[in-house]
Amino acid sequence: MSVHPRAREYTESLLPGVIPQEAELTAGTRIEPGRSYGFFTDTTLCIGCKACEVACKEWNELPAEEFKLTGDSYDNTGALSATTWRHVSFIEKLKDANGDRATELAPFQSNWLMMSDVCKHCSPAPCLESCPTGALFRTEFDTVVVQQDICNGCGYCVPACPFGVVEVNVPDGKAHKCTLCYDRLKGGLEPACAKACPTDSIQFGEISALHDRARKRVECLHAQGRSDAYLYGARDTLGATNGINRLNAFFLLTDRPEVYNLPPQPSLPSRRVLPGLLSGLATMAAIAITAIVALAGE
Amino acid sequence: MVSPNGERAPYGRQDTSADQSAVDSSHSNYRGETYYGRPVLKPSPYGQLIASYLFVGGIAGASQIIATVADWTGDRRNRFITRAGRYLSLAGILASPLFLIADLRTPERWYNMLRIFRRTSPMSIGSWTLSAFGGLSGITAMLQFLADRRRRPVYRRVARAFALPATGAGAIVATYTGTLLGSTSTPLWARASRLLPALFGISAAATSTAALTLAAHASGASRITARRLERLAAMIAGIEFLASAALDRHWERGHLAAPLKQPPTATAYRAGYKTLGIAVPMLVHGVSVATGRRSRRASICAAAATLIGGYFLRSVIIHAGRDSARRPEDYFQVTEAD
Repeated sequence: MSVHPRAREYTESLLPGVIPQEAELTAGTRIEPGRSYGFFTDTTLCIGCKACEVACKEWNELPAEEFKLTGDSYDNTGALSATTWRHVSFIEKLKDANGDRATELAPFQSNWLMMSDVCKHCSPAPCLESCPTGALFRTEFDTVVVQQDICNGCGYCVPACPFGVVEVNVPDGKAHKCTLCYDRLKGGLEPACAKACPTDSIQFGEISALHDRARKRVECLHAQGRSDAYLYGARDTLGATNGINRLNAFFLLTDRPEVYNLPPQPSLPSRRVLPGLLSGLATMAAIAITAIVALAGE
Repeated sequence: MVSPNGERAPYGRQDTSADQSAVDSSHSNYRGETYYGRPVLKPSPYGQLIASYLFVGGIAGASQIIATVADWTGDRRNRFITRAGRYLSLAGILASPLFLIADLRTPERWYNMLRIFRRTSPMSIGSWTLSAFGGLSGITAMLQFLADRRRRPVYRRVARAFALPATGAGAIVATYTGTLLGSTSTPLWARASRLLPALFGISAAATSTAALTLAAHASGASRITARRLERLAAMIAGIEFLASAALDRHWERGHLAAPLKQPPTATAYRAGYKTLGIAVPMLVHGVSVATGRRSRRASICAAAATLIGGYFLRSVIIHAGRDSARRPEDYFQVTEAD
C-alpha cells in the first residue's frame, strides 16, 4: 500500500499512513489534553441527511434498533438511547405564527427544522454528579464518559440527566451514552459525526473558539433578517441555566427549545441534595420529639 | 417562524447583537408545543424492588430512633420498645442490601458503590450511610442481646453509646431516599425535593411504630407498652395526614399531579395509601381516644393498615415518577424545578 501524499508531509509519523493530528486538517483544531472540546451544532446548516447517526453507529459499533416508521416526519430514530448516540430531529413547520398554513417559503430550510441531537457533555454534568461508583468521569478533553468496566447499572444517571440522554442498556446492564469519540480524540481524530457531516452543521473544536464562531454566526443571521436565531447551551443562554454553567455541545436554534424536545431552563439536580437532606433530618428530629412525648408518662 | 421582513418570533432578538447574557424570560409564551408528544426525559429504571427497599429501609432507620428515644426515657416499661426496635432495625438493614443489589442491572459489581464517595450524589451518600448504619445497628443489637441475656448494666450503657451514632445514621437512612428521588430531573420528584424526604421520614416512623405494635401484641408485652405505642402511632398518623396533604397541594399547584390521577396509580394512591394508610389508622385511633376503649384487635388492624399503606406510598411514588418523566408537558412547565 502506498503512503498518502499528505501523510508524507509528517515525517515524524511512526507508521506510514497515520496522520498524528488529523483533526487539524479536518476540523482546524489540534487536540491536546487539558483543553475543553465540544460541538457547535448550527441547525440552520443541517440538511437532515443523518450521516452523523450512521457514522456514530459505525464507529462505535452500536447495534441497530427496531426498524420502524414512526410517522414523525423523517425521524424514525425517535430519541437518544443506550445504543443511539446521535439523533436527528425533524420538525415541519406547516403553520405560520397565526396558525394558518404558510403560503410562502421562509428564507432558510423551507419551513423545516432539523437538528442533530447528542449528549450535551454538560459542565457541570448532572449524570456525573449523580454517579455513585465513579464510572462517569470528566476526561482530559473536558468531555463526560461512562467507564464500562466500573458501571454497575444502578441507573441513577438516567433520571438525573435533564436532557434524557443516558440510558441503561438492558442486555448489557450498563449505562451508555455519547463519548465524544474519546478514543478518536486520543488519536488526534475529530469525532465521527463531525467528520461525516457534509455541511459542517456539526462543528468540532475548542469551546472558546466555537463560542466565538457561534456568536458571529448569530450576528450574521440577525443581520440577514433571521432574528429568531439564538444560541442554546452557551454560557448564560437558554439550556445552560440553574447551575448548569455551559453545555460543551451547544446549538444554534431558530425556534423554541421545546419544539426541538429540549428543556428551556434545565437545572442541576445536585443543588437539591443539601436542602433535601436537611429537611429529612429536621423531620426525624421532630419525630424524635413526638416519640419523647408519646413514650414518657402514662 | 419568521416572515421575510424579520418579524419578531418568541426567541431571538431584533437587534443584531448576538449577546444573550440575560436568559430569555419569555417562558410565559409557551403554548404547549412538544416534539410529537415524545418524552424529553428518560424514566428511572426503578420498580418494586426499590419500592420494597424504601419500605424496609425506612422501618430500619426509624426503628433505631424510636428505640433510642425509648431508652432515653429511662422508663423500665419502655424496655420492650428499645429491645424490639433495635432488633427490627437490624433485620431491616440486613434485608435492605438484598433488595438494592437485586435491583442493580449488573449486580456482581455491587461493591463499586463503595469505590468512591461523591457528596453530590445521594446514592453515594446513602451507600456509605447504609454501610455505617448496618455496622452500628449490628453492634447495638448485639449489645442489646447481651444485655438481655447477661443482665448486667454495662452492656446497656455501651449499647446506648453505640445507639447514638446509629440513630444519627438511621435518621439519614429513613429520609435520604426522598432526597435521592428529588435530586433527579423527574418533574414529580424534583418539585418535591424537600417534602419527599419529610414524608418518607414520617411514613418510616409510622410503619416502624406499626411493626413495633404488632411485635408488642405478638409477644404479649404489657398493656402500658401497647398504649404508649398506640399514642405514638396516633400522633404520627396525624402528622402524616398533614404532610401528605401538603405534598398533594404542592404538586397540584405545580400542575404535576396528573400521574397520580391516572389508574392504576390513582387507585393504589387513594385506596392503598390515603384510605388504608392514613384514614383507617386515624379513624381507629380517633375512636379509641373518643370512647376511651382500647381494643387489641382494632390496634392490630390499624397497624396492619399502616404497614400496607406505607408500602403503597413507596410504590406509588416510584411508578408515578416514572410516568411523570414520560410527560413532556410536565417537564416543560417546570422552569426551576424546586
